[in-house]
Amino acid sequence: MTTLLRRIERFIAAGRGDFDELAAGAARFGCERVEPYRRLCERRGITRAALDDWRAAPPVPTSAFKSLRLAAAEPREVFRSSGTTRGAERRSVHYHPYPDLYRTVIDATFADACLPAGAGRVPILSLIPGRDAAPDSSLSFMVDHVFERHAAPGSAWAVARDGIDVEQASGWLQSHGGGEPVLILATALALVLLLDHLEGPTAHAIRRPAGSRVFETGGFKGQRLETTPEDIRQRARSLLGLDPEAIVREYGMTELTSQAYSRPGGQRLRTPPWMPFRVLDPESLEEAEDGEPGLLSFFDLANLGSVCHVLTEDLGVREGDAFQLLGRATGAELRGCSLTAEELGAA
Amino acid sequence: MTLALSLAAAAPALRVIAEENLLAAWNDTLASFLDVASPERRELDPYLLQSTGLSPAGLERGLQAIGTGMLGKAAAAELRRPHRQQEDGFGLVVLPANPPGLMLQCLLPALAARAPVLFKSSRAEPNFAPAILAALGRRLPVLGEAYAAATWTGGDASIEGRLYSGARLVAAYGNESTIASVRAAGPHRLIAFGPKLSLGWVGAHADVEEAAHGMALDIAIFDQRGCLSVEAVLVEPAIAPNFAAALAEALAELAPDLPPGRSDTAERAGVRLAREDADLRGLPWYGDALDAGTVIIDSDPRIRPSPGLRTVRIHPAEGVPTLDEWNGRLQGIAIAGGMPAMIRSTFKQAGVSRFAPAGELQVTDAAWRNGGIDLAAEFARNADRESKLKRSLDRVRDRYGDAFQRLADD
Repeated sequence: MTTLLRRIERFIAAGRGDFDELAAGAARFGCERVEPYRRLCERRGITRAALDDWRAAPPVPTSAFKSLRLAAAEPREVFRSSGTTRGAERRSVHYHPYPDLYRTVIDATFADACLPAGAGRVPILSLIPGRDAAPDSSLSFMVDHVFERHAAPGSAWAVARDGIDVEQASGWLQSHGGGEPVLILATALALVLLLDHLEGPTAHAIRRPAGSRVFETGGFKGQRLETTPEDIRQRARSLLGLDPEAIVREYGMTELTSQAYSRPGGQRLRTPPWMPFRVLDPESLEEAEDGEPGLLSFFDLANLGSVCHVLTEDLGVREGDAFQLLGRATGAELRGCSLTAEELGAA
Repeated sequence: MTLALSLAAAAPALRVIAEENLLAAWNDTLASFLDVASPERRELDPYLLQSTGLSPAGLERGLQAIGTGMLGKAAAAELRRPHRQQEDGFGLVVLPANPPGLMLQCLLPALAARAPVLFKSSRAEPNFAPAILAALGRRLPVLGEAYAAATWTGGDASIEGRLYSGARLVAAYGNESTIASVRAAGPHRLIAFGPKLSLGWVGAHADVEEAAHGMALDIAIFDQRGCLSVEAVLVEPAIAPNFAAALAEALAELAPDLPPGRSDTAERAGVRLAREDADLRGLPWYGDALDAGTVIIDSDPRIRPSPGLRTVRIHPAEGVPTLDEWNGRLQGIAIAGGMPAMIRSTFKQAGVSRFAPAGELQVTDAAWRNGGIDLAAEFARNADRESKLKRSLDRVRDRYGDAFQRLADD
């Protein structure tokens, strides 16, 4: 196992190795070590030999992280998703025996995706809480590591107990109005709340130095906000003086160790070489035709400690080597006598 | 707003309509809309099939379920009730996209209360409400002046600001964010019919085959998109496996007569995920094509909403279910094999407003009060007068409250 782990680390950090071979090894490892997954493979008659092709490993729905312990080894970190809805919705739990692998992933992707070219350390403002405030959040783990690696002196967190500290964020942005580019880390919701505040009567126009970036992740966690990515970008441009290419979208989730990123200013998301994605036809779970919507699945080598092949609740469509998010599968939400036009007309 | 004001102006004429004329217009109109061969239905159906996505048989069965019990004596009894709107003014009803015909459950109480109403139809289903209101107006022209339907994009402040503040009452269907949005618009009085689900209950003495056939109907009508659609069934543990198998068979048998309508990728994906989740957890499940129905025996007693497409979880359950998470969000229970009084009481306390034999849950009549709310009384209620009374009482309490308290202390 140690050998497999080291080889995966090398593949992620340096691109050395053969993905298909590592993926087959990781799939077998999961089938042997993760009890519920082993039983599933047995029930479906999936043999070791069949796993020479990682696509033969059954993708595990993210809902399984809510009800089953999916751990290949004793966990060293336990990440939990944030509760976003009422009712019977439970939180996903990702048992992580290899947090260093997570750090390797962040080191291998974050700077290229989010930092201005050539930047080592930059002033960072985080609207995402750190681990002291959210110890079981995988996103906060990531943000802490980003601070450790890339934060220049004067970087700050603008996080209040019940959300973001918009006053502090606004003050920080005022004081970092000139000079070197900055990086803002935010969820989509936090970014909208900050922009709302900057639009308020007491706000001042804030100009960001050229090359500044915004890392934007996630949705609105059940909040009703009448906005679109384009709207956010335009407001960020006018209120923060950011250029259209400033916002980098990140796609990640508690159940995955790796992330997909957009190009700066883009919408389409790309995964790293160790986490290929597929768009699957819900009827057959075979790969959908190009341009056809389906369920997004990922084979994430960095999920070695749980299960690598993950079937998300997100709908997407392939566009070349990238994907576009289209929405969510129906599931936990109540719909009786309440469907909206948008829901009824979904893809 | 101009339209709403013209509706409000029709209130005096509405108040003097003779009851028998109103009943005749209602019965004739509704009977026509429940007759698939009537000219009004023949004209409407192509649009309704397109907008609802239901199969022709699904549309017919759904409209019959919601409308038949609102004809004749049931309608007469409703129209005879004493609640009347005594002053001018209009109400506003925000309709969801599905199920079709739901507006009848607001329209009849509004007629009973002689309350003019503007219905906001969903953009996704803008056909039923204007069609039936126009038909009513053809039979009794004053109704055409007092009731109207319109469609606009929700959240448009230029339209909604004055409408919400001008309406005597706003009744809104919709998901939680829609309801929150209407609430934020600050209507004087809001009745919110938020999203709800319904359950099945199969007791130890149920005839499994009969229960399965009834429950299949309660699942399939309106393609499981109504708040009275069964989404999960609590079953006596000893018969749960047999019931699940029988239900899967009943759903398959029902499909040729009541074929599923159009489904979208999100729904099919939701069903696929439910099946994959069941597989991983080692739960038995039955199902063929994704839209033909899925029956999962779920050992976890926690109730979860169905992803749709006739997907239902069977929870082997003993005794009183834990419903804390569902307080206020349960609508109806389809019962087979009897239900102990204590369990019925638990469901009632959780807000269940309808108990019916399996197979009849969605077949409502005019006497059913959605969520226990008496809409005719609400339409008739004079909120301004009550506010004045309340303000007077508040003034008395402010002025004399301390004195009363001292007297009480002495």
